[in-house]
Amino acid sequence: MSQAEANLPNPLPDDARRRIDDHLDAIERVLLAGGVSRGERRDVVDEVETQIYEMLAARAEQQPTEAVAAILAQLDPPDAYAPESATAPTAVEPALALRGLWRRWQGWWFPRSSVPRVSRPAFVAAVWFGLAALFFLAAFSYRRPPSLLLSLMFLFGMTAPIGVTALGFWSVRRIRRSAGREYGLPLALVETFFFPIVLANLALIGLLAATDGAGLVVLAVLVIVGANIGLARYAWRRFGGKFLSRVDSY
Amino acid sequence: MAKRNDSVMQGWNTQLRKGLVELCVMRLLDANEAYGYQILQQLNAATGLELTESTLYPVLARLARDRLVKVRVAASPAGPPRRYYRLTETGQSRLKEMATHWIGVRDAVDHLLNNGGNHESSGSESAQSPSR
Repeated sequence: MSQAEANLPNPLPDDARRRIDDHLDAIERVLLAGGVSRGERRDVVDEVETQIYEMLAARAEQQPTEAVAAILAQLDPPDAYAPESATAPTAVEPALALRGLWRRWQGWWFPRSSVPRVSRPAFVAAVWFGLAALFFLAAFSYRRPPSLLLSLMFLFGMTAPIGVTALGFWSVRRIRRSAGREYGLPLALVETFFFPIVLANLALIGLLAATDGAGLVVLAVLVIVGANIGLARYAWRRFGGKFLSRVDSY
Repeated sequence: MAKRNDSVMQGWNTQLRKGLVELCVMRLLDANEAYGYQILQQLNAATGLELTESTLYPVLARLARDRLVKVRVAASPAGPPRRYYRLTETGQSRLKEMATHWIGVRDAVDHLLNNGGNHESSGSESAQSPSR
């Protein structure tokens, strides 16, 4: 509960609070994209939040959710907060436009909202993984001589093991430190360990294939299955289980 | 055509109002301490500038950044703490400069509108009075 709500006679319902938060976040994003400094952004957003609660107090007889909806409809839309330099970047100020884009990019990766959302790196890694798998399939199933496009798709697919693992690892760290603001830990764990486990399997298969003797096949299967279970259990205990015991909503 | 003209006029009105907001806010805070929403209500009641929060709050943040106003945070019965603004000494001297400049501009524009730029006809203003 925010300080704003703590001062209210009755706490707001979750959906009403979420609508206010979304409105304030949207304003902050517009200001961020416009290159407004952090301190000024906070001042403006605080003022809007205060105004919303002042207006809510004047509508005490109304249902809170309806009152919030009516108030938000009455207020300026978030886009109205765009500084003029952001809405119409001039040709002589490309640096300002670039800075705005950079801040918007940062704002996407590091959302400041208190509303829990899927970890952005985990989401990007999942999309990366899916696209890479599609591109690989396309590259290998296409019968014609390789074209430039297919080569590029193949190259993109090749980046996935490193990119997805790195993003997965990053998202695991972020989720664990987010105190509930980010979720998607199982997805992040799969992204982190999928390619290393595949690599370890390939290495084991290669090693066992290099040794002679058909009787080793059973042993090879047992070793591979055992190694996979061991890796998965290690990953879950090291990163997942401990976290779950502390935050049971995940 | 009429629609485009309306839009041009609206844009001109907006720009004119934006230019005056800072002066009006500073004048208001010279006389009284007030919090954001209160300033909005008072200015709209007193000036008819039709200000909205997306114009006012960035101005207040900028004035605070430039140390032309000082901010005092106090608890509110309605929810989050209110931020009360008051003009600083630097703000007061800036206000004086702005007011002097504004009066000069206002007089010059009045004179131009009333006399059509004719310096010698100041005594016959009514003859060329524009429809304002």
